[in-house]
Amino acid sequence: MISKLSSLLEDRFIRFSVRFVLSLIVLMGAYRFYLWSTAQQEDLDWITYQVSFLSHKLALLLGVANCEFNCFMDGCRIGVEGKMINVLEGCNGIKLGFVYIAYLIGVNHNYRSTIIQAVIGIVMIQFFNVFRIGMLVALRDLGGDAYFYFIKYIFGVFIYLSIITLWLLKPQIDKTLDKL
Amino acid sequence: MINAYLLLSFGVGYFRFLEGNDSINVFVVWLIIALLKVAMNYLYFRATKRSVLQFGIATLVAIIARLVFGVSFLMVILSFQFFVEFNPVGGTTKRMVS
Repeated sequence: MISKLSSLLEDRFIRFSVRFVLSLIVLMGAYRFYLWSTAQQEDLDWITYQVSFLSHKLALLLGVANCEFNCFMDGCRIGVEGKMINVLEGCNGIKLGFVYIAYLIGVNHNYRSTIIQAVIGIVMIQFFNVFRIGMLVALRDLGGDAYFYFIKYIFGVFIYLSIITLWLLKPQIDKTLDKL
Repeated sequence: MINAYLLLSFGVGYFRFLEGNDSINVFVVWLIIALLKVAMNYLYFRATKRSVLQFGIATLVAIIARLVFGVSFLMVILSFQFFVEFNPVGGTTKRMVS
């Protein structure tokens, strides 16, 4: 029984699963604690604020005139009066970033490489996320059915593509980091 | 997989429509969607020739992560799939023979 268990633990897939789950628990636990502490201070979390702020800037760059930006405890509202969109905590993309970091910890045994790739991953995911929300504000301003179609079907896939791209590029990133 | 996800989104949209009409219970909708996701996930693991153990562990972790932390089910599943794809020692060489 013990030898069967130890041979099971030697399986790379099992080891990855254990490392992945533990990393996800730690990251999500820390994030939940952070959200709880900001709620205690009756404040909005920094990540959602920054994502909303940058999305607002992008919407302005995309030509959305009179684009307003207001933040409350539960999220931010961006857009033209009467056509505003809500950016809540769940829209900040950080949970996807945590899945990617948990994957890196599960796969990598080199801490330096894990940290560098985690930073690249978070930046890339947030880049896609800010682009997604900025575009959403612009589409809402334009009006029509495009906004509803994009928010329901396209943008969900769009942010997933960022993390899939990172997974596909990971072998190349590993090679580059090994050379450095 | 992305196409399957889009199809699932259309299906979910239809169930939400029924839910809005009060034609169907919220819990039933949730259960149907959850079972659909697991069934499609099983087909995905079968199509990529993974073992039942790999399917079981990945699905269990994805369900728990979804229910406890609100993490995307699909992303957790893809994490496991990408691991097996890029780690041939623990993955492709142990692929189930059909």
